[in-house]
Amino acid sequence: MKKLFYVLLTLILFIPITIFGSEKQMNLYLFYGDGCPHCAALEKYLNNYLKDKDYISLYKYEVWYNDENADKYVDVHEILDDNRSGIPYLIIGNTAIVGYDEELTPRRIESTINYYSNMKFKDEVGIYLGLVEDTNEEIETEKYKEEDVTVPIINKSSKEVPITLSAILIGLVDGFNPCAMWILIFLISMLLGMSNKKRKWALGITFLLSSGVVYFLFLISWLNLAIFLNKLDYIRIGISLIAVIFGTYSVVKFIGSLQKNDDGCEVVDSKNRKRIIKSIKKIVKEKSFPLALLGIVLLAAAVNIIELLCSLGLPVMFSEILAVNEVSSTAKIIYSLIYVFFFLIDDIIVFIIAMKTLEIKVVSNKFGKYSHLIGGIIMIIIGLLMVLKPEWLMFNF
Amino acid sequence: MRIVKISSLGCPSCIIMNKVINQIKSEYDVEIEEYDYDFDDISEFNAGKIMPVFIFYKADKEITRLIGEHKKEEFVNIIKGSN
Repeated sequence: MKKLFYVLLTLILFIPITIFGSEKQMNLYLFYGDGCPHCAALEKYLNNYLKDKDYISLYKYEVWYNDENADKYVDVHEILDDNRSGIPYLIIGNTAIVGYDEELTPRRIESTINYYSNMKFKDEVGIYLGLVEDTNEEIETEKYKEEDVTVPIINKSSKEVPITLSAILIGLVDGFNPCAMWILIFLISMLLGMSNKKRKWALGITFLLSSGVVYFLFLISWLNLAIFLNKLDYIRIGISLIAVIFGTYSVVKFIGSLQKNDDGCEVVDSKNRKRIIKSIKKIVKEKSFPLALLGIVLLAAAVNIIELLCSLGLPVMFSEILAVNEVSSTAKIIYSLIYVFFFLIDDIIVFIIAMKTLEIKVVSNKFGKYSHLIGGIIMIIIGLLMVLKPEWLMFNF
Repeated sequence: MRIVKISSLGCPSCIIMNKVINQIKSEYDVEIEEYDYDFDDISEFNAGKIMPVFIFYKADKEITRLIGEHKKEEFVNIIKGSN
């Protein structure tokens, strides 16, 4: 009986140790921006997650408005030899986690904490920040690597589906914009007059591809700008205001057109039209095929710049969604390609049908009119959400 | 009856309305005059910015006009109404 008592006693003694043994004091360091929606979401998660873990201390450094912290943010990157910029920037051990994704980041934080809490490591960031004493020990610690490195677009996180759907929807609505459709139809009518079938297809496909490339380049460049601009509140509010005004104008224009019953093609900028018509005629009649191809590429570029000015709102709105969601570079490209594909899909369909049937089947402008209405509503919604509920743009409802 | 039709190159609505106007031409005794928005002088018609435009004349006097996409019946009613 006595023996059993001693065994139980020792077990009880071990329990605290086993508990405390694994709970080595740990510091987390969070670099964030005041007003950055992702930072707020991460802080909310951390406050909740660390509530019952008093062995973990969280130190926060605001970098947008505090220059001293901003300098520390740069130094810490050097210590960790990490060139990824962006906030929130959370350091656990000698590994940093950038950004916040509601699905991915919590799991990554927990597994990183587990990794470091079960091993000895030198908290170089803590030493630099003056929070941890330097014992001058040389400890080499492997950075924590997430085993299943998931490319966001493949990983079924809750964000991809809504972002992909908005790429499709906004791309489709943007594509239905009749602004530059007349140029494609006119080009097709000229191509139909050509006898050389291969040349017809080549010129048409080149036009569509070049249009796609130009629009894609615009989307990506505006997106990089939007990511930067989004940090400045007054610019974000400015964009939101313009979006709501643009959107309201489209809706009012739609309502006005209901009474007039004159669904037709609005012919604008006659001078430019004549120049484009002449250049298309010249290109199609061009003897040298390479020259004709070059002409088509330049034409597509010019046309899409017109198209952009005519429907600048929607691509900007889509870029806002990507910017707010801080998607990775891979995802940025993939989502933009999806957008451009659905932007061009109506043109592709009209072109293929025309080439196959040698007849131009077109979509009535009644649809064009409704695309203005839907486009306007999308602009108003995203414009308002950008300021009032940015987290909804991150699909965190 | 004379109908002046003003259309523009590459205009989807104009393409859609071509079928309607060709049917009217074949079924009714009307004279159709076609103008191009970009390359013909259409200043006398005060055509506006929405294409196509159909202006109906009776004894060289404009009786009405249709702008944009319209059904064949609307044309027929105007033709019959003016007889």
